[in-house]
Amino acid sequence: MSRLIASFLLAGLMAATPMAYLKLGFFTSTGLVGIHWTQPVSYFVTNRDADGVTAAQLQAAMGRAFSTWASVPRVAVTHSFTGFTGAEPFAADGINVIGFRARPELDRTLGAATFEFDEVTGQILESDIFFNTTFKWSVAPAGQAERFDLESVGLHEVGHLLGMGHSALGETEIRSTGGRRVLGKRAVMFPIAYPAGNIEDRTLEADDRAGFADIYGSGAQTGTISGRVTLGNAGIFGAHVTALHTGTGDLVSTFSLTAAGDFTMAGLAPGLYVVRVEPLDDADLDSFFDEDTGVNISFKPAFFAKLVPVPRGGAGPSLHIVVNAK
Amino acid sequence: MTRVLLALTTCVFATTVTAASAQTPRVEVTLGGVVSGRASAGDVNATLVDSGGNALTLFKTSNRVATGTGAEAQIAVRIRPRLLIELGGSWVKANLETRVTSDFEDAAPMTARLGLHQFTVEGSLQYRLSRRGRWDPFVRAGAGWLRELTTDRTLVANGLSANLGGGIKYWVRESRPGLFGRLALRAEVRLGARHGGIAFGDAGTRLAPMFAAGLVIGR
Repeated sequence: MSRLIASFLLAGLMAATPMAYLKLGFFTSTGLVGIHWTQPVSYFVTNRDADGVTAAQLQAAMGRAFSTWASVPRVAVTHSFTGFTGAEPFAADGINVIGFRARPELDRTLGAATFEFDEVTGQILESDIFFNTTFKWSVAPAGQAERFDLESVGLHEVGHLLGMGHSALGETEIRSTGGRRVLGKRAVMFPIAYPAGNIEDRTLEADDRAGFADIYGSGAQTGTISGRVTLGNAGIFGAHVTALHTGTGDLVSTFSLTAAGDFTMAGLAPGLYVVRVEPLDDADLDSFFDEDTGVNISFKPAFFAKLVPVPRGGAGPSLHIVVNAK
Repeated sequence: MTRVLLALTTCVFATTVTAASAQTPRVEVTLGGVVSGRASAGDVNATLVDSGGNALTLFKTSNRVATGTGAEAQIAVRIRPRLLIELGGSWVKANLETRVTSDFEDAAPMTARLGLHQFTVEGSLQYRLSRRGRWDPFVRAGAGWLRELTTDRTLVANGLSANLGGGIKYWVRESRPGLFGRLALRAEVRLGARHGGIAFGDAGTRLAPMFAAGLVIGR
């Protein structure tokens, strides 16, 4: 069995599969494989407290985060807390460990996840999560000023542990002190967290649910939008494609992930959608792609000219979205 | 004198009713066209959530079913002198339209469209008002089953349909023998309600003015 270990610092995401949504994946000689669990997820929690959070409170917060993901309709993922451990997260020891670590050099990283997975099947073999004690944490039910909400960030990291990549469904602005400030977002899996004290990310959004259903759902109850984005006659790699359900207001997004500009968005509730495409310019590109993959951000946002029908268990027409240069 | 007038009036009224009943076919078959007016389907905005829990609008949409045209047919059976029970079916082709505006990053406003077929099967009651010569006014109300599908047949959904309105028939022929011995032209305006069907916009029930016209064959 060939194994590959990958590390995902909060914004980290390896090559995402163009098969669907923002699930983590990799290329093989036979095509693209999304990584996923094929057995119940059993995890340990480190037996060390952090400032303001005990090990037991960390375990409880992670239990809530796992349960939130498991509550996504029509997916089959089971999880269990195995016990407390003295093992360190980010050690290739064959067990899944979640805990605190002091990583002062990562001064903009709240948490991170690592994976060990089968390079052929995509089966996740091990995954760890750490929360950076460089920052102050809270498990207060209503949040706590100046402290990051452990359950909110935990829900994001557990999403990674389960095979989810980052969503680009948000708008940000550059801060004068460096980094970015979130103006608004609509996905727990957006790579930039809300400010300390905020607990908005304890609840999954439609984008998160769609991505999770894409990985672990049967697809029988959801639908797919696919197509390509072009500028002139050339495809655009890395275009951010967003779909609005005209009946519910739910937003789901994906990227174009081939040189031809092909994209696929799965796990969608059936209905009629407005589709919008914009440059991937609201987070650092390395939040979404491992290396410089030629993401084109030199085009104007645009809408697809037709309403897009998505049937239950199927796909609507393939879209061709033409954009103009900036 | 008073008694004579009363008796005379009663006699005239009875005669009129008898004549009207005699002229009213027992069965009417109507074939015609229908125009369905624009129906608002409500506004739905694409919103993000800021750190204060407030909505940040990514873009706005306003949804509607555009004016459509189609055909319909009804068969009505007289069950009382002024009351007919009617079974009808209709087909209307229209466009679903979503107007997109106020994009956060200034994408150009536009209107996205998709064709829609609407089929209804409705049962109605038609009540005839006082007839004036060849003019035969009526009011009608009914409800039934709705089926909507996009013109590319990707989405199909069922719902409920209802109508309330009135119109008039003009009897061109009333006493000639043969299949077309009793013919009338029928015009009608009504308010159509569509509930359910394809999920589109935030309006639970879509209301549209409708105009229908057709040829009535009486037997």
